Amino acid sequence: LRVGWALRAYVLLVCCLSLFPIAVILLISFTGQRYTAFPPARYGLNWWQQALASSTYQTDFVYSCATATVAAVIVTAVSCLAAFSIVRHPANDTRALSAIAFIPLLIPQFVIGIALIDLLTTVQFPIAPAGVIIGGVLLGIPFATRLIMSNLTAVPRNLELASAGLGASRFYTWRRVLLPQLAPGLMAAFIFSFIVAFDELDVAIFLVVPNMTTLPVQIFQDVQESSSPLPVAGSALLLIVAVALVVVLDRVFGILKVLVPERR
Amino acid sequence: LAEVRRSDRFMRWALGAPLLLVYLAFLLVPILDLVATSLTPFRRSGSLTLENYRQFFEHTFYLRSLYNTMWIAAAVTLVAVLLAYPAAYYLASRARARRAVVMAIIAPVFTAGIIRIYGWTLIMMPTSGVIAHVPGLQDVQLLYTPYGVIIGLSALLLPVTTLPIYANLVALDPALLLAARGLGASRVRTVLTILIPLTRTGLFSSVALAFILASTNVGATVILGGQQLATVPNYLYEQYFTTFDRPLSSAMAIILVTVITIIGGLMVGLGRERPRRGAGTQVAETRSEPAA
Repeated sequence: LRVGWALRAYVLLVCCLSLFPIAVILLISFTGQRYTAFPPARYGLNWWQQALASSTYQTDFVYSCATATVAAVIVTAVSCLAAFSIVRHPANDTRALSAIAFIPLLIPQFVIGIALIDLLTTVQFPIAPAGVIIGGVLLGIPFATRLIMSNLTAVPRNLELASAGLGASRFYTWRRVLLPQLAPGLMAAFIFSFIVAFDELDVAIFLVVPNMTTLPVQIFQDVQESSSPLPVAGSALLLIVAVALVVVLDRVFGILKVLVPERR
Repeated sequence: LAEVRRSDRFMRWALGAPLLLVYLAFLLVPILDLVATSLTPFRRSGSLTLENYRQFFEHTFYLRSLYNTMWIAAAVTLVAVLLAYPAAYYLASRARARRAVVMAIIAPVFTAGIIRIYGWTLIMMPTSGVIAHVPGLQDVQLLYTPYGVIIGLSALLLPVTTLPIYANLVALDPALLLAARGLGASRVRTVLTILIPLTRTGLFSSVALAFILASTNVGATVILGGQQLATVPNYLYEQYFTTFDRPLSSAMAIILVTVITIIGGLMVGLGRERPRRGAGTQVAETRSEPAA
């Protein structure tokens, strides 16, 4: 495809627009003032220190990590089985399964949130942490299934058949032949669903309770209540976690190549 | 052989079962429960009622919030697609800065939405925001207006709007565009009659996606729109946490979902490829002739 200078300039503008809010967050997180203002009159690290030392943010961070980890484990297990069903046992009903796997992405997130509250209230089960975990599971499965499917498709069926033909049991084949080949896909699915569950806002907004709040929801609430730079520094911290995970995902598993495959 | 086939069927059901169970228990059942809640009266017991739906359609401020939600989502869709299409085209080329553009436009999808929304708040803040320092924009009020929500949401949805268009563009044969230009079509005509028709599936998926996500986003609408802006997500959030009127908010949720499902379904339906003699297919046919 041909790219002219006008398009180049326009795309540069779009890139700037996309990075603009992130850059502003980073800049203002280094303010030395007591309220958010652009440009900061003084710079300092005190809000970073405060955010790191804030017991609320620490608790929220641990809670977010814990719920996202549990969700990611469930997502990876469920998606791995579903991907096997779809890729290794192709039939009409498994094609339907791969379509069904996408359903949570078609349902607005806040609907998932309030529907889960309804369910948990009806069955009288504590809303936290179950709600946030279930929400993370629902949002993670569509992506994870797709990631593991594309990994599994790349593993030749003959390896399994050869292993079985040489007398290996099903379990041995799975453990020594399939699992090593699938490890990248499973890891990518795990990290991706962790990120989805960790970052997720619209489901969790409805499912947090006092002392059991995810970090994004805490920042959401702080933003509405004050003009202190504390939530800015909190956002900057979240940003750094996200950048670290993306770099790992991209360097090790080439996630961006999966999302945006190059022209062949 | 029948034995093998039966065990194959058992395996594929056994492997798919956990996913189906999770969706059944935590998606279908809760949503049916939500529908049930929307049919119960608020703060009193009683039989099933359509009271909550009636309340929504009787009060002009609820209808107004639905109208606002729809036009804001439509504007977001337009802006997002106008930003995403050229970006997707650039990504589908072999341009040198491709990787940097992936990092700038696609990678932010991995950062929490709240960060980017909050960033826009700091940009739009009156007197202390970024735009307050831009000559000529000092007095422009964007925060707590529909326009602020439109800007913030378009930027937020940029990655997911770009990807479906990109999937189409990357599979497109660049020779088709060259052929059109070579046969004397102007640049604009090439875009309108070749490029866009050949990527309409992706384009309409992007449009449907942007519209659905924009009309149902709570976080960005609450922060950038504030309580003054009447939209369905805003009202719903408020109802849920201040008046605790769950039956009414459930009804609002179901009305909104119904409306956007119809609109989103129309979009996807319009984008589906039909075997018809359009400009794009004609070019494809003429081109394949010499080869045959």
